Amino acid sequence: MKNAKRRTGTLLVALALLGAGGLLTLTAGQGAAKDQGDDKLRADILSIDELKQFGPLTQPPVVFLHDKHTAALGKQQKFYQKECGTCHLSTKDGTMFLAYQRDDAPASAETIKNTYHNNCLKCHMDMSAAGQKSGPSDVQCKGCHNGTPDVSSNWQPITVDKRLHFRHAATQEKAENKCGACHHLYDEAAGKTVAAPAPEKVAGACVYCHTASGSTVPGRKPEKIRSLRLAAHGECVTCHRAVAASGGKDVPTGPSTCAGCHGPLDQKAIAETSLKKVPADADLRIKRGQPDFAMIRPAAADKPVIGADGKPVKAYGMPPVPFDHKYHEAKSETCVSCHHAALTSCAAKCHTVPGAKDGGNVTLEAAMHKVEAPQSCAGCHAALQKKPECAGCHAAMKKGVGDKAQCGSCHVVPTDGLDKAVAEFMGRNDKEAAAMAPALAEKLLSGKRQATATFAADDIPETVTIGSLAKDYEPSVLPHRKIVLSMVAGMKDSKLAGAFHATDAAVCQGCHHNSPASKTPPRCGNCHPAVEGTAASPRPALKAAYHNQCMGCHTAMGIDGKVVDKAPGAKPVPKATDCSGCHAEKKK
Amino acid sequence: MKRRHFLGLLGAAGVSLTTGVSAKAASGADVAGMPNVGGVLFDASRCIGCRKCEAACNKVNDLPQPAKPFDDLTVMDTARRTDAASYTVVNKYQPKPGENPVFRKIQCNHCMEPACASACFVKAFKKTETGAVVYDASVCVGCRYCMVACPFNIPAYEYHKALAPRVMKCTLCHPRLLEGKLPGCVEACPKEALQFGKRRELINIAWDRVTASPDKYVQHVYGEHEMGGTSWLYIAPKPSFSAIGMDEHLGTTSAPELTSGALAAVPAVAGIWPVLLTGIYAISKRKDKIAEDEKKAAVEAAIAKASADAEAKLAEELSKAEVAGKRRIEVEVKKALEAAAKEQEGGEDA
Repeated sequence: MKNAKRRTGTLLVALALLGAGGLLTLTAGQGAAKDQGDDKLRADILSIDELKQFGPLTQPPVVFLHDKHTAALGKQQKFYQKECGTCHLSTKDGTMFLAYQRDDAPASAETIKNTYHNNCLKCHMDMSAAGQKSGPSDVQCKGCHNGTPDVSSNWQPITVDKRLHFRHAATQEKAENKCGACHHLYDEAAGKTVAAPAPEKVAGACVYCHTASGSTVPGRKPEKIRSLRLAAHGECVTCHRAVAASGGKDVPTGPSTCAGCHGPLDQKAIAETSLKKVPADADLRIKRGQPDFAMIRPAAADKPVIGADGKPVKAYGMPPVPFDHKYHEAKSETCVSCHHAALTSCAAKCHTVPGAKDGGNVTLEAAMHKVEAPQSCAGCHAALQKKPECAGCHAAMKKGVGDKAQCGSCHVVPTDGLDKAVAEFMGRNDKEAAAMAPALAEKLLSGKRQATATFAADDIPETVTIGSLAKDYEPSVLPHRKIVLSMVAGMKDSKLAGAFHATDAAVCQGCHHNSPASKTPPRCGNCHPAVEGTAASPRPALKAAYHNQCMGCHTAMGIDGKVVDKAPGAKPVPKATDCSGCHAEKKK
Repeated sequence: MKRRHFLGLLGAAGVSLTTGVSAKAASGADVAGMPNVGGVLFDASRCIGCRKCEAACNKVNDLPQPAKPFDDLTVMDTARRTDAASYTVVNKYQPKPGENPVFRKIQCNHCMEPACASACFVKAFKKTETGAVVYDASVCVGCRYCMVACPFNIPAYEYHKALAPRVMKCTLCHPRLLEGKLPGCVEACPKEALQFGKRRELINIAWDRVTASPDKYVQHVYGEHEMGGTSWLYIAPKPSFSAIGMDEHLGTTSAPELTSGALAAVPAVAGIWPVLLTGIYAISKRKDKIAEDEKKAAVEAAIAKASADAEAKLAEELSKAEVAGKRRIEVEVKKALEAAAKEQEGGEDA
């Protein structure tokens, strides 16, 4: 709380100083925003369409350019007196409302309409009368209610990734409680928020309390918790501006304009600055007392679990999943990437075994395996399969967990004496079990492949001649070994690929799909008929099978028409429409 | 035509309309009536824009060679449509900037209840069990209502032909299908982006493919219900069918169904006017023709009569001339006889 007080103090000092100087530059921290390039693509577009909640709009929404207004108002002589207050109201303790000239109390359609019409137009007219450039001041509706604006939005949500978090933490290095500068907790006794005292007490990301739409806690004072949007705009922007005002030119400050945080070019600039400012050897791990290793298992219950249909839910009967938490932290930008709603155990409250209302009825099994959910294990892994070096094989494959043979990749079956330890762990649900989890997980994971391996190069046929259908073209000679080796080279640094390509033949399955994994897979023609008939079949005929497989992979990997071979005189990978690039034309 | 006649005809047409013409009858087919109808599934995510289908179509239909060869892929830089010399074209689209382009093949969609057939008053179009909507040029009067009616802007006209121009469109290679062969384009496609089969089986294949990759495909099979269903079915990669230039607002009602209800209530709807006015035109044209024929016959009769009179006169003249000739000879003979008699008397005297 001391930090907060100091911040308010600096803000007041700054405002006083500015009052004397009248030099507030609202564009502080906006360096990169000047290079937005295209003026028609903007991150500050607000659509004023609040009357939508009362029924269909009779006029097109007003396209309001926030940065344009703040920049214009910042040039006003007496602007320092009111600043944001020119347009926005505040509570007694200085918290600003984001609505225009209103607090957040419900208002009638008439009131809202009049607020905009009276104040917007009055300001425009006053400025126009004073001989200054202003927005529309006539009473023509279409001046503001422009149905076809010539600007479009390039707004992007901003993510406080680990590097940005590190930079913010660095600014508070000297503070006695650096986490508390941003992270606060709600103190029931005091009836207000207090700075989080220690890292392990931090509630986590802002979004855990300040949800997207805000929330209400009955009996608490105040009952309402601001939405993430309100909280972020209220806290982040205020702090950035306070620092800018107190520190002068040399103090690095965060952005205070819309484009500064939400413009794609500015975000790129932020990422570049982060790379520059954060030392290469810096420990980016956000420490909050989390374990390095963990065991993921269905939450053990004393009583049999009852499902939504009133019947007891059978135990999954799967071995627990040993999980390298530290490694996954390094691969994720934020804690929210996985812990999207709270830092507590997934199974504790939301994703229970039978599913709970708090977790949108998503069961624990689904929470881990749902492919469409970016926070689930399978969902995140499926997203990684979209990388060009993986997409060649995986774009055509079914996403997610379907093949039972793959369960063992995560649900490691314990061997060599570990089975007893695992059985003991699964049987208990106390502190001792929790204590033994990290060591157990580490041991179970130690047997995993760290990198993708396949058969020895000599065992991989060097070329494969595809000629069974040759008619207009000569047979195609496939540089088989080169393809396999370059694919393996593409995933040599991936521990994920190593863990999941568990056998030597796994890599072969990218092309030799649906056939038994072996060193000598059957020929394509065994499954794909060489002749196309007039009866539709879900299985492609041989010609299409070859073409789909080869061209599909080349397209997904983005290597069409590019030189990928490092050998001298290497030719580009043929484009899909370059027939003679793969098979020479037959001389007639 | 006289005003009175026109109004009379209008009245007659009104009477005939009240007897009720089912617009559905024009289509000659409905979805339930053709359970084994053939079709083609086009998967836009598989099409690579090689134009092999265009080349094959050109070959099997004996169409004129285009200005640029089929291996020139730059023609796809501008959007094209089908015309009388090309039953199918492939266009290139860029739904997402920076990503690979998506291609779409355009040709007749062979509707289950074709709008062209329902608009045609001589029944030049017919839906067949192979899936094809076939065209009979021998009955076509060249009114081009089919071109106006088609919601996909497909039928094209041989405008350049002075004699017997035809309406041209994809035939689904109906003659080849009857021989048990695949349509030319389907056979030529190297990627099986085109697949021929029974329409109901294609719908299953399409949905299997779409549901297996929900992040890749638009969750819709275009042509399953559009305009009452078409034999040509489409699946496409995200974001949408409109991103590859397809009309997503056609609705699921077939063209004949769309017009039949309205026509029964209000005869003066666009659909029936062509039929009505063409009828009136034909009747008035026929009257003119009859009048002309009569005139011609009269002239011929007059000419015939005139020549007959002339002949009779000639004969009369000739006979008159003969009589005169005879009399002249008689006179001459008499004169000669008299002279001879005188000479005989004088010789005796001398």
